[in-house]
Order: sequence, then C-alpha cells, then structure tokens
Amino acid sequence: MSSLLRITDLSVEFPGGVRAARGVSLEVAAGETLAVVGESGSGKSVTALSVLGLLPEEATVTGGRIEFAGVDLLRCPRRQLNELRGRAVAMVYQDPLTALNPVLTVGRQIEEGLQRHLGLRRRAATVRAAELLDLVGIPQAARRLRDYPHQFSGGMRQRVVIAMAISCDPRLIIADEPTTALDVTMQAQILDLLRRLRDDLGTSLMVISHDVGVVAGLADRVAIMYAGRVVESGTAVELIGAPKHPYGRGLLASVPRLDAPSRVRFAAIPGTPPDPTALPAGCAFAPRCGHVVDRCRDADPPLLDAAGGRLVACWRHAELALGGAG
Amino acid sequence: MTRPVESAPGLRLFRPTTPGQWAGLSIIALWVLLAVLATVLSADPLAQQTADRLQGPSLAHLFGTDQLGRDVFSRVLQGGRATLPIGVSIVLLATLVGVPLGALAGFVRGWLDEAVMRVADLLFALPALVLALAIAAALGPSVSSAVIAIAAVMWPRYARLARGQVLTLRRREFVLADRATGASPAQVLWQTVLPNAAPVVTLVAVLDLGTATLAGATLSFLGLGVQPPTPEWGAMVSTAVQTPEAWWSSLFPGLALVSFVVAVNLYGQVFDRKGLGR
Amino acid sequence: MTDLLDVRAATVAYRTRAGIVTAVNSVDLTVGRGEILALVGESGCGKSSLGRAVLRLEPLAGGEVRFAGDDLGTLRGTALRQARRRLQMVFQDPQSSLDPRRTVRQIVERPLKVHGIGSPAARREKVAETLDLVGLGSRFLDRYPAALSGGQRQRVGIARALVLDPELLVCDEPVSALDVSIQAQILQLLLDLRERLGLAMLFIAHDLAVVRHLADRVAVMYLGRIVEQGAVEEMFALPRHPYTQALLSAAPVPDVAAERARTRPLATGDLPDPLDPPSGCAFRTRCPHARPLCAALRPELVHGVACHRQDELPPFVSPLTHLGG
Repeated sequence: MSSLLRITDLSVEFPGGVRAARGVSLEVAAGETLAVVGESGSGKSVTALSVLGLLPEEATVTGGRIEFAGVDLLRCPRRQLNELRGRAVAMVYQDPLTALNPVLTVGRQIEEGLQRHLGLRRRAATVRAAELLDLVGIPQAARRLRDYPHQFSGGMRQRVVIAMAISCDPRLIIADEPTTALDVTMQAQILDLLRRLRDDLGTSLMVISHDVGVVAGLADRVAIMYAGRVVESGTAVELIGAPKHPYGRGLLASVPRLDAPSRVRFAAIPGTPPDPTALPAGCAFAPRCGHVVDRCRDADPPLLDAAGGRLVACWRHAELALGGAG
Repeated sequence: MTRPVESAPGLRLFRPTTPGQWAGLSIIALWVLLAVLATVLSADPLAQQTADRLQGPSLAHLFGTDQLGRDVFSRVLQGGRATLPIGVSIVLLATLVGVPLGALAGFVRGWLDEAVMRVADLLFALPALVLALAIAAALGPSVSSAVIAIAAVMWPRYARLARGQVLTLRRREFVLADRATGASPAQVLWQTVLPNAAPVVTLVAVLDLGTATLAGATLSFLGLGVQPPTPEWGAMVSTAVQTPEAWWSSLFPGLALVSFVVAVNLYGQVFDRKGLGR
Repeated sequence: MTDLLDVRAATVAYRTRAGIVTAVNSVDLTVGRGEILALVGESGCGKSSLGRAVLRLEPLAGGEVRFAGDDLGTLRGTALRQARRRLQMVFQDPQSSLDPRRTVRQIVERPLKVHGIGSPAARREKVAETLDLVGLGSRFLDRYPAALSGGQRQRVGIARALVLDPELLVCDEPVSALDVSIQAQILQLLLDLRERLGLAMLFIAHDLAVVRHLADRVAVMYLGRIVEQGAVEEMFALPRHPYTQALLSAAPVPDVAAERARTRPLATGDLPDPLDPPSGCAFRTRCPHARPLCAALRPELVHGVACHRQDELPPFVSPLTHLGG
C-alpha cells in the first residue's frame, strides 16, 4: 500500500543531550487517519513538527527520513518545502490564539494562503475565504472575514485555523493537540467538524493527542509513543480495545472511564517518566513495568510483529497476550 | 519530561559563569584588596614635596606626582578607600529606601501607591545630576551629602522596579497559596513576595554600582563630594585637568575609575539569568 | 449533623474595563464532613472563583460562607487565621503554586511557622510525617520545586495543604495540568487521604470521568449559577438539565465503537459573553429544548435542577446506561 507520509527512524536531539525522538517510524496512507498518542516527553509533538521543518532552532535532526509523496522533506531544498507547506501539508496547532496573526484580519490570513498557493486573484480569494469560514461553521462568514482573531472565541478561532488548513486542499493535515485548549462541549463540536471535513474532502489526517478518547472517534490507526519512541501501533479498534504493550495497557487503564459500570480505584502507572537526558539502557519503560525481566533492562526492544498488523516494542508481548487481560 | 535542574537560590547566585564575569569579579576584588591594604602598600598621600611636583612616572613615584608634589600612586590606591564605599553607600541607601516603598505601593495599592508613584514621577521628570548637585550644594559639600543627594535621585528607580515586580508576583499562585495558609499580608509581602523580587532588584543594583560610583566621582570632581586634600579618584581627575601636560595625574585615577565601573558591569551580568527563580 | 461548609447566596463579581462580570451568581452549596462535592463546569462558569471565595482569597460581593457554623465573613485577625487552618487549598498549576525560592521542607513547614505552631523539632517531625503521607520520601526535603516533576510538585502542594490538619480541602483542578498516568496517582492519593484523615473536599474540575470516580455529590455550573446538583451516580445515569446532558454526551470515551457512533453534539454555538448574559436561563442560547419561557424567566433550582422543562423533556440516554451494563 502506498503511504502518503512515511517517517523512518527519525531522531531529534535538543541541547543538553535531550533525545526527544529516538528512531521514530510512522506511516500515514492516503485517505487514512493516524493518531499519535503519548504523554508529555513522549516525542509526539517533536515528530509532528519535524515533518514541516517547524522544529525550534536549537533542535537537531540527527537521523532518519521523512518522505512525503516520495520527497524526502528533511533533505529537499528549502523552496520545495515552502511550497509543500500550507499547500500539500497543512497544520492545525494546539493554541489558536498564537497560531493566528493578531494584526491581520482573519480574511487576510486565509486569502494570503489562497493567493500564494493557488494563485487566486484577490476577489476570488475573498469569495473562497468566505466559503471556507462557512464550511467550518462560522455564522455570518462574509462579515466575519473582516474581524481580527481576538474578536473570536477560542472555539471559533480553532475553526478559523482549520479553515486555513483546508483552504488549499491539502493531502495531509497534521493536527497537534487540536482540542486540548478547548472546553469539552467545544471540543465535541471541533471533533465533529474534523470528522466531517475529513470524510468530505478525503484528506489524510495525522492527529497528535494525549487524550485517547479524542482520537478514538477519528483514527483508523493509532501509534503510542513513550520516551521518544513508538512502542505500539495498530488499528484503532484493536489497539484501543486491547493494547498489548505494558505502557499502552497502563495508559488506557489509567484513564478514568465515564462509561465504567461502577466506581473503581484509579489505576496509576507507578513511577515517573524517564529523564530524556538520562534514559536507561534497554527498554525505557522497564523501571515502571510490572512485567519486567532482565532482558528488558539489557536491550531496548524494537517494534516486533504481533500479528494482524500490530507492532509492539516489548520482548514479552506474546507471553503477556496469552496470560490474558492484566 | 523534567530533568533535574540545578537551582539558583542561595549563594550560588553570585558565582560567575562566563570569563567576562570572572574578569569583572577579579578586578573588583583586586581594587577592594588594594583599598584595604592601601596604607601598607603606599606612602602618605598627603605628603607634599613641592620640589618634586609634576614629575612623570619613575621608580620612586610609580605614577608620578601631582602639582603639590604628592605621590599619585599612593593617592590612587588610597583614593579607592573613598571612591568605592561611596558607590556602595549610594546604592544601598537608594535600595533601602526605594525597594520597601515600591513594594508596599505595589502590594497595598490605593492611596499609598498613588502617592509614591507621583513622587517618583516628579523626581524622574527632573534632570538627575542637576538635582543631585542642588541637593548636595544645599546640604553643604561633604561625602555624606553627596551620597544622600545621589541616593535621593536614584531611589525612585528601585521603587518603580520593586513595585513592578510585586504587581506581577502577587498574582502568582504560590502567593495566593501563602495567603491561603493564613499568612498575614505583611508576612506574605516580606517573606514570600520580596525574596522573589530580589534577583531582578539585585541585578539592577549591581549594575548601578558603576553608575553610582561615577556619579559620586562626578560630584567630587565638581567639588561637592569628597573635600581636598582627601584623595578620591573623581576629585583627582578634576584637579589634574588644570595641568594637562602632566598626563599621569589624570590618567591613572581615571583608569582606576573606568576599570572599576567596567568590572562591575562585567560581573553584574551574573544576575541576568533567564529563568531566575522560575 | 450540620454541614461543614455551608455557602449561601454567594456572589463574586469582578470589575473589568468593559463592565462588571458576575462570575458567581447567588450560589448555594453544602459540603458535609468527610464528603467530596465536585464542582463541575467549563471555563468561565465561576467554579474557580467560587473556590477562592470560600477561602476568602476573593472577596464576596454578596452572600456568606459558613464553616462549621461560623460565618467566615465576620471573622477578623486571629479568629480568621484560626479558621484558615481548618480550610486549605490545593492549586491547579504545580509549577506556579510552589514558591520557587523555597525548598520542599520550607514550603511544607511554612504554614506551621506562620501560625507559630510547635517547636522547630516538632515542626520538622510534622513535615516529615506529612511528606510521608503524600508519598514523598525524605530525600525531597532539600530540593527546590524546579528539580521536581509535575506529579511530585503536586504532592508537595497537597502536603502543604495537609500540614495544618485541615478538615476541608478546596481542590482547584488539582490534576488538570498533569499527565494522564500521573493524574491517576494523585487522584487515588486524594481518595486515600479522605479515607485516612476523614477530609471533606470541594473538588473543582472540568473532567467528568474523574468526577465520576471521585466525588460523592456533584454540582454543575454554567455562567455563575448551579444548573444541576445531586448524587454522582444518579446524576450521571440520569442527567436532567440539558447542559449536564450536553457535557456528558460531549465527554470523549476511549472506546472506538462508542465514539464512531456518536451523534451530533447537544450544545451548539458558543459560550455567551459574560458581560451580557442571556435573559432568563443563561443556557437557552445553546439549548436544543429552549422555549420562550426560558428567555422570560430564570429557572430556580427545583429538585436539584434549574430548568423550566425538566419534567417535560425526554429521558436522556447517558453513556453510562448505554454501555457497560
């Protein structure tokens, strides 16, 4: 199957020996939605930012390839990257307030992209911009083109950001924690919007989130990251229903469930995430894992095949699966 | 996620981190040492040997002699004993007056805030040096009047600085937490808020040390600070101006002054840290 | 038994450049001894302001807060300080709620020193005991907050709140800023502490799933008023106010089938401008069941629900009854 985006073995470091990404490999097929799930320090945001070359200055990509429709984004000329940005690959950020330019009207910001990437004339761009705002559910779209970002509420701003993202018919949208800054009722609306747009436009979507519930409705496939690596990946239905990696299990178990039949104890993962400058040799999750054996501490497991397209970075994944629900 | 951060609070705050800061600290230390040991290292600065007046640097007089035949080397070394403490006293006085006033104004707000800020505004509006001169002249020429005059002109700066810091800090959650535990407003201000304002205030104060020293020297230069025949770098440059051909009598005290001020500015950078007391 | 905390007609208002915002509008609530009451709502509903007003960190523009029978508003000086010992707060942001210039030891000891309790030796012991209670060992004593993880900092915040042996804790979104796997640790800690110490809690949160497993009773707030309150199990199984229904249906659940089957969200549009709230029922602009009456008359809390149409509305199928038996 041809993949639209293929990240192979990506490694990113920050000054001070911080290994934010250590050999990350991910794929998004055309028309597919991939969710990348992890907590802070997992490297998920760093991976997303690397795709469009949006890492902060002090970060260094120390290895790997990012191929988009055959082009290696890490090695292609600047101009080519700029052309792809906003056009073929668009991004939706976490904080709509900082993602929008406060001194330009919302209309101008959308029109700029249309003019630059699609070559539309001014008037045509304005018309299209109004259509886009309407598409994302902003009432009185034509009038609101003339408003500035601060005149919109948080949820509306995020809709504007989404409008900008889809404006040039991108083949891939990368959404980095798109609803984290929003209230839950607004979050539901935005997720609904993303789902609708994705279905109508057929775009591929890569959603980064720490909230498994948020991605459950959107994702076809899910990848879980921990300490800079992908530790498990598979279809959304299978992975979220029955994760196989001890961290994946622990993560899902620690989310309090609204739909649980009765009140239960909160199930925490003991310990704390590792220090990215002093990662243990061997499996990064070993210090917190309830199923650790010597082998885990000696060697860091790669992503191993666990049947049915599932990949699990755990030496013991087969035995643990047999052992039944843990 | 988090890595163990070496935290700043405590004396570690004063430790130089760059070569420039080390250089600055060394020069300051050197001058302080020389000032302390001045009487041991040099001869009587007041001894006049009119026969030897305006002699250039020689083995007998390392820095030459001035127009009254006094040894410039001795006067420079001992001049530090006048010049250095003046700068320090000025900054100390200005902060001791300005910081509490500004902190109270920022914490209590209301009429106190208005009053302090209006007075500060007034003082900012007037040209600093002129005002200092006026005050010093009114108090009569002496070291203490110079110190008071310059401090009187400098305190609004610290008041405004402290007020700004307090205004930001009082909204922080840890200050709210302090109130929640039952601390009185006084306890919250002096024990929790102010220690967190200290790094920024210290930075400014240390950098001002150079400016204050220069200001004191300027007043002495103009005859309103240290009185002759006591050696003081600024005053020495002033008298040396009358005999421009004797370059040594103005150069050495001038160099002393400049080196000290530059050293203070170099070392002062140590307090300018991102994330100080974050 | 009288309630430990009795809030009556509490009102908190802020003056902004654009006008007066009534963040909390005549709210009544009670918390009994050893009980956990959750205060739930989205941003701007006033739950944080109410929490702070209970501790007198914000002034009340109206109403009163009674603790163990005493009106906190009438207490001054020493009496107020004494009362403060029994009511403590845990803050949301572990990063900014600890004094960066104090060590863990100093932070936890501070409340004791402020109240002049015990000798230095006795205080040291109390600090060690309290840190132990929250699961932090003595090796943390001389560390600064910057050297701690989010979860560890939050434990220090809890220790600070506990060191005075309070009877009630106001927890203002204490886990919202933490990673999910750490949230569970802190939540279980709070529950264990309630068991061991008999603490009552006013737990302010926006995450309903957390509330489900933590609280005994819950009050839902919208634009400064309580719109529904009651026992957790009942309310979550059968929410009666349209806003509560919207919240419950909007809350994401980590279950693919449930999420994919999700129908349109129940609350449309945006939060109204708090400076100019809608007349009558504040939720009517987003409510699928609004009628003219809702604009004309503000509904009072009747049987724990503030909705004119509470008896007419069709029963709501909540995620709880739909799945998981």
